[in-house]
Amino acid sequence: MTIKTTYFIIATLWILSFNGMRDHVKHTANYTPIDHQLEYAANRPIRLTFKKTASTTPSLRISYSLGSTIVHGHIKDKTVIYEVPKFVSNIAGHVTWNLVNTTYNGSFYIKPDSQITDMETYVGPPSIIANAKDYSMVVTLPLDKYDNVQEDGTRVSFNYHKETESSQTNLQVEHLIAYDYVYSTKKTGNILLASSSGSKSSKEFLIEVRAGLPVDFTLSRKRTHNYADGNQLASFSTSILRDSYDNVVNDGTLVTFYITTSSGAILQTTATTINGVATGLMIHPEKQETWSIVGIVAGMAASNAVIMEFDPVFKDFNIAVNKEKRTVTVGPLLSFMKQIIPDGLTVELNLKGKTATHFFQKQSLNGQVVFQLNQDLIPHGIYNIEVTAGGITRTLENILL
Amino acid sequence: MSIINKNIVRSGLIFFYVFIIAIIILGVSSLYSYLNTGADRSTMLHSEQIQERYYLPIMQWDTTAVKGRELDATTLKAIEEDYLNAWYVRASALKNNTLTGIKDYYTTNAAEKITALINYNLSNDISIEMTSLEHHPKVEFFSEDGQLAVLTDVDVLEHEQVYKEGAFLNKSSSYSTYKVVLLLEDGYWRIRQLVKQSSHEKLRETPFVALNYDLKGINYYPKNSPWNTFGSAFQQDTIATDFKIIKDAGLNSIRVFVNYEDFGKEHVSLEKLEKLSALMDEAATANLKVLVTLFDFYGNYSVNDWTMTQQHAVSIVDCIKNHEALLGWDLKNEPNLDYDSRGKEIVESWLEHMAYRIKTLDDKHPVTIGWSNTKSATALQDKLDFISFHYYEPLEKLDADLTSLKKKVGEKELVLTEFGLSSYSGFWNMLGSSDQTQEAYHKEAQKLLTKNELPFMSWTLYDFESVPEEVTGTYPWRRNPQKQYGFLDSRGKKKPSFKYISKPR
Repeated sequence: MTIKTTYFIIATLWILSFNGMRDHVKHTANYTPIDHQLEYAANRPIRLTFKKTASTTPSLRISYSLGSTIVHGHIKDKTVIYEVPKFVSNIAGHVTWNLVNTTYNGSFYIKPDSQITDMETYVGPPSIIANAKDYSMVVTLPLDKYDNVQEDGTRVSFNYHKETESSQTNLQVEHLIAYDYVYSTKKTGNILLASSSGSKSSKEFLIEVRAGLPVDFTLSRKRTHNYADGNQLASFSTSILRDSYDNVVNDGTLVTFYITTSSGAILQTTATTINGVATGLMIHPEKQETWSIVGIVAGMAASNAVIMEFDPVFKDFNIAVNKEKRTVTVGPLLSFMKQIIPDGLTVELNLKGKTATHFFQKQSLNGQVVFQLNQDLIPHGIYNIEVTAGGITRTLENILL
Repeated sequence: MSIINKNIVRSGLIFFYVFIIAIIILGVSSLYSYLNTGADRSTMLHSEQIQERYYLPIMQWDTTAVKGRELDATTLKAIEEDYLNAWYVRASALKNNTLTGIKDYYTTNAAEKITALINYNLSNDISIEMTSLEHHPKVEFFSEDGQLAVLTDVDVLEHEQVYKEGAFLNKSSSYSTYKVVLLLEDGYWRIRQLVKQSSHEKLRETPFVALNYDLKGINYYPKNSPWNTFGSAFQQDTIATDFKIIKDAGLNSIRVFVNYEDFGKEHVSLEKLEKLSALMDEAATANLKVLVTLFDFYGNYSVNDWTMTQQHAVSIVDCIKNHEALLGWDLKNEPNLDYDSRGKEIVESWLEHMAYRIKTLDDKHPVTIGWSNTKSATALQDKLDFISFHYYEPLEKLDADLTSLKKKVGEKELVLTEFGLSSYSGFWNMLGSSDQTQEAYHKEAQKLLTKNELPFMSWTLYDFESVPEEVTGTYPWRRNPQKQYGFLDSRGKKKPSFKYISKPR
C-alpha cells in the first residue's frame, strides 16, 4: 500500500466520520423555546424564538383557524426567530405550530383586540304584530379592527325605544354573538334599537310594529234612494277595522261583501281598507228585492248582517203593438218621481206563438224599448206577448202579428 | 371538346359556388349558436347546483339545545350542504392556491382572510392538502329570521399534508373544535366567522384485537368470475359448493376482495352489500372465517379523496361488522406497490387513517394490510393488529426472511396471506413450472409453514380461464401464468398440489 493510498483512505474516513457526526448532531437537535406565551393579542406581532444547538434550521408549520402555512426562521446569535405572518397573528383563535421534521410543537391562543371598531348587527324579522307577544330578534357581533369577534363574556348593551319609553338590556357575548329578543308593543308604531359595546355603537335599526288580525266589526249602509232602479249604487261601509288591541288594521286589508238576494242568489264585491274602513259598492237591483249583506275578512273577522230593501220604481207600463211596422214598444217607463227612468233598465219580451216561443231582451233608452220583430224569423200569426220590466210582467193575449 | 371543357368549367363553378355557400352558412350558423349560448336562464337561480357531492365526512349533528328559532330538517340539510362545501372549497383553495368557490361559501370579510393566506402560500410555493373526516357540529343558535346560525363544530378530525415547492414536508392529523357563524346570503349559507377554539393531535384510543385463530386459509374467487366475486355471475350455490370443498380440504378460512369501484365507491350499492352478506352467510354455514380485503383496485390515495373512501369503508364495515363469519379486515391488497407512483408518505397516511377509521367503527375484529413482501411488512406495524404479507419468492429464502421480519415486528402475529406457484408450462414458460413443480412447491411450503407455526392463506383455489387486464397487464407472459395458480383446475378437477392444500402429508 502506497502512502498516497493510505492518505486517501484516511481522508475518506475523516470525511465519512464528519458526515456521521453531522447526522448525529441532527438527530439530537435541540430547540429550546424562548419566552413563548400561551396568549397573544391580535394587534401585536408574534415572534417565536428558539435557542438552538443544531446546525439545521427547520421550517415552522403554523396551523390556525383558516388553514396552515410554513414560515422560515432567521438566525441571530444561536437563536432562530420565526415571524408569524400578520394574516395569522391578526386573527383570533387557537394556533398550533411544529418545527418540521422534529418533535417540537406547541400552541398558543390569539385574543381579539379589545378595542371594538364595529358592531355588526342583524335585526329580523323587520316587522312584527302589535300584541306584546310577537317578537323580533337582534344579533350583534362586536368586532375589532381585524374582524375578530370579541371574547365570550364581553358586555353588549341593547338600547330600545318603544312607544315613548327607552330601555336597555345588558347581555354578554356567547358563542361569538350577543342576541336579544325584541318584543312587540300593544300599539302599532316603530321600535327603534341599537346595540353598543365599549365605546362603539351600531347604527339605528327600526322594527315596524303592525296591527294584528282584525276582530269582528259592524256594517253600515248608504244609498240615495230605496228604489230598485238598476242604476244607483248602494254602498256598505265597515266600521273601522281594529285588532284586539284597538289598533287600526293595515291599509289594504281585503274585505269581501256577500249579498244574499231574496231569491237566494249570492252577489259578491270586495274592497280594501283605508284607515280601517272598507267601502263596497253594488248597483241597485232592477226589481223589488231584499238584500242581506255581510262583510268578511277571510279567516279573520266578520260583520253582522244588514238588511236592505228595495221598492219597485213603477207599478205598470204601456205596451204598444204596431202590426205594420211589426214592433212592440214598451214604455214610457217612468221612475219613482215620474221621471224617465235612467237608461239601461232591462226589458224582456216573450213571444209565445203556436209553434214556437221567442225571447228578446233589451235595455231601455230614453225610457223606452222598441222590439223590432223580424218577419223572416217571426212569421205572421197569433202570439201571446209577455213583457217583464222592473219585476212586473204584463201579458197581451192573442195578438195578430 | 370545347363543349366538354365548358361543361367541366360550369360544373366546377357550380360545385365551387355550393361549397362557398356551405361554408358561409356554416359560419353564420355557428356564430348564431355562439351568440345564443351562455346566460342560460336556468343558471339565474341555483337550480344547477352541485349535484354530486365531493366531500363526505362523517357528520353528527347535535340540535338538542338550539337557542332562538326552532331548526327544521330542511334548513339543517341546507346548512350542512353549504358548510361542507365551504370546507371543500377551502381545501381545494389551499391545495391549488386558487380562490375558486371561496366567494360562494365565505362572506366578503372571511374571504379576504383566506385570500391573504392563499396569496402568501402561493408566493412561497406552499401547497396544503387537507381534509376533514369527522364533524360533530352542535347548533348553538339559529336566529328568529332564519338568516344567521352559530355552530360549535366539536372534534373535527382533520388531516393535512404540507408541500413546499412540490416536495412533501409535513403531515399531521388533529382533532380541533371550531366556532362558526353562518349567514344566509343569496341563498347560500356562507361562513362569516370561523374560529378555532382548541386543537390536539391525540387520536382516539382503539383497542388491540388479537387474531386468536389458527388460520389455515385460502384466497377465494369463484372459478367463473375471477377478480369479480360480486359481479353479475354471483351464484350463491356455487359459493356454497366451493366453501364445502374448502372446508373438506381441512381449511378454516378464506380471503375475499371487495372492489372499490365495483361496490359503488362512496355510494356503496345495496345489491353488492347483499351479495357480500350472502357470501358471509354461506361462509358461516360452512364454518369458515372470512378475511375481507377492502379497497381492491383503488389507487388514488390523495387527501381530497379521503372522505369518499371513508364513506365507502363505513358502509361496508357497518354492514358486516357483526357477522359471525367475519375474521378481520385487510385494508388493502399490496398497497406498497403504489409507493412508486403515489408516494410512500401519501399511501401510508391514507392506510393509517383507514386503519384508524375501521378500528373506530369495529373494535372487535383485527385489522391488517396485505403487504406484497416481507420487506414492506414492517410499515405501520403499530397501527395494525396482526401483520400479513405475501410471498412469491423462492421458498428457500422464506426462513431467513421470516427471521428478519420477526426481529423487526417483535411480538405482533405474522400471517402469510398469499403464496403459491403457477403450474403454467406453456409457450411463455417452457422451462418453468408444471403440475408437479407446483405440487413440490406446496409440499415444501406446508413443511415450512408448520415448522415456523405460520398461519397462512394460499393463492388460490381455482385455475382461471381468463384474467382481467387490470390484474397483470396485457403481456401474455404475465397473464398466462396467473391463470394457473389453482389447486383445482378450471374444470374443478384436483391438481396434484391439492394434497398439500392444508397440511404437509
